[in-house]
Amino acid sequence: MLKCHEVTALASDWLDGELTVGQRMKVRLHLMMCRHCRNLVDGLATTQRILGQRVESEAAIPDQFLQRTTSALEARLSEGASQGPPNGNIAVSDAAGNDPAFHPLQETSDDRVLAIFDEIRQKEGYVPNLFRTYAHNPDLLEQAWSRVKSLMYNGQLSPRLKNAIATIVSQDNGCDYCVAHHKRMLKTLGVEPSDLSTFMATSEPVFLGPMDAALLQLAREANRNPHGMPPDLIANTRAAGASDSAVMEAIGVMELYSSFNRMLDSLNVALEPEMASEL
Amino acid sequence: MSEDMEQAATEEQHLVGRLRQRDASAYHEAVQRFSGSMLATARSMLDPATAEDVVQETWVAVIDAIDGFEGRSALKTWLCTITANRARNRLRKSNRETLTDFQSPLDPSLERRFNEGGSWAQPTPPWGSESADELLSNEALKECLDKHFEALPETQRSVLMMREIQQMEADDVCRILGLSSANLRVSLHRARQKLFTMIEGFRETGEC
Repeated sequence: MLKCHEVTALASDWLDGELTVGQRMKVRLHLMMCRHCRNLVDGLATTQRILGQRVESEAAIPDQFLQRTTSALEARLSEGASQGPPNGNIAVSDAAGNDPAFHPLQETSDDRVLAIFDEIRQKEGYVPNLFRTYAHNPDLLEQAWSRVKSLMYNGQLSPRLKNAIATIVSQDNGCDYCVAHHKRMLKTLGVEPSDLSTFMATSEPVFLGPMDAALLQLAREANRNPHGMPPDLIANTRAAGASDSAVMEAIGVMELYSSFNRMLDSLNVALEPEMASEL
Repeated sequence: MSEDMEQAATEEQHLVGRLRQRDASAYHEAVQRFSGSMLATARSMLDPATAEDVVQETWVAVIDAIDGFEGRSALKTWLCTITANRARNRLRKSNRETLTDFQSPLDPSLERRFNEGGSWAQPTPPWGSESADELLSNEALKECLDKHFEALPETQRSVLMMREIQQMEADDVCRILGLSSANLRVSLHRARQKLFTMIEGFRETGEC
């Protein structure tokens, strides 16, 4: 027989029909015998109804908000087919001299840097400004590139998952440079444009399986809420089939991109002009 | 499906089609129709000014995102999901809340009313036949409820708003708030208990 304390703990699940058949029978039996718990459950149900009626599902729409939003929408709609940055505050390098604060390295005679640039070109087709910026310090360039190689071009997790982690962590951190690059990677990896739109808007990873989705949620929370990560997120990830080594790799990708995000944003590193359409 | 619902669904499909074609008048119509729910959702997590910013940004983002809308939920619910997803990121930057202790399903206000054996030490009196409507006819109680709703911990308030008021899917709420489904249930239960004890106290003393 359940104790009153246990019935009180299950009361919302009872009211919402979230109990298993066995639990439901036990609660029903207890409620038949115990008027105190019946009072609690009735009161809780009334509370729920009161909340539903009292808490406004719609707030009043201020006129000023309406005007601002209408002009923001009109401005964006008149820009033509989804081109141009949505918030207009990211640096894009251009010949017109609108220089960002910190310049990616364009010319160098450092053999070590040149060798790494060659490797990057083989993998990515060109040398992104991310690496050109690190190149001011060859040791750091070497470290950054070797982490990208081992995490993004090797390892056990799928490239889709890893680029999804890079995208969402960068979006949460507000790094438009990384978002543009990894959105493009996801497209290259065959993610449907409409699935990508959904992902960017609602963060629902429709293109990932359950284990990858759990790893993505874990990595996302590790980035935005490291002090308050509910322990059962890790347990759920394991239950979805992820090994601890996979968990570590997902966290590693998060860690890599959150550090790239900080570097790129603080130095206001420019997005390559050819990437601007990805914004 | 009733005829009314079918008609509403067709109307919504038509609106979505116009939004996809980047029809400015469709956006104008949608902003007037849905911003109220989006603002209420954002305000459960943010101060009013930031909430307005987030809803405005959401509308601009919808221009690109609408292609991904599949109609699995109502358009309004989908818009609230995008709003909440963006609001949650603002939240992280502005403050950090004290975490709900997910291990205990009972709110401290109720927990202390049990003895060590798990039986009621201070049982809850019957709520009688007073219906929700009757209770809500009391202006002082309404004010008190608003005050306590505002004072709920961040997570509990946004869970109530998203799940109970905006009827968002549990999976969506979990993803946005970074909760497991078990912790979502705990948050919801804890929030209801807090407001339950508030209403109970009010009925006994007439004071907030």
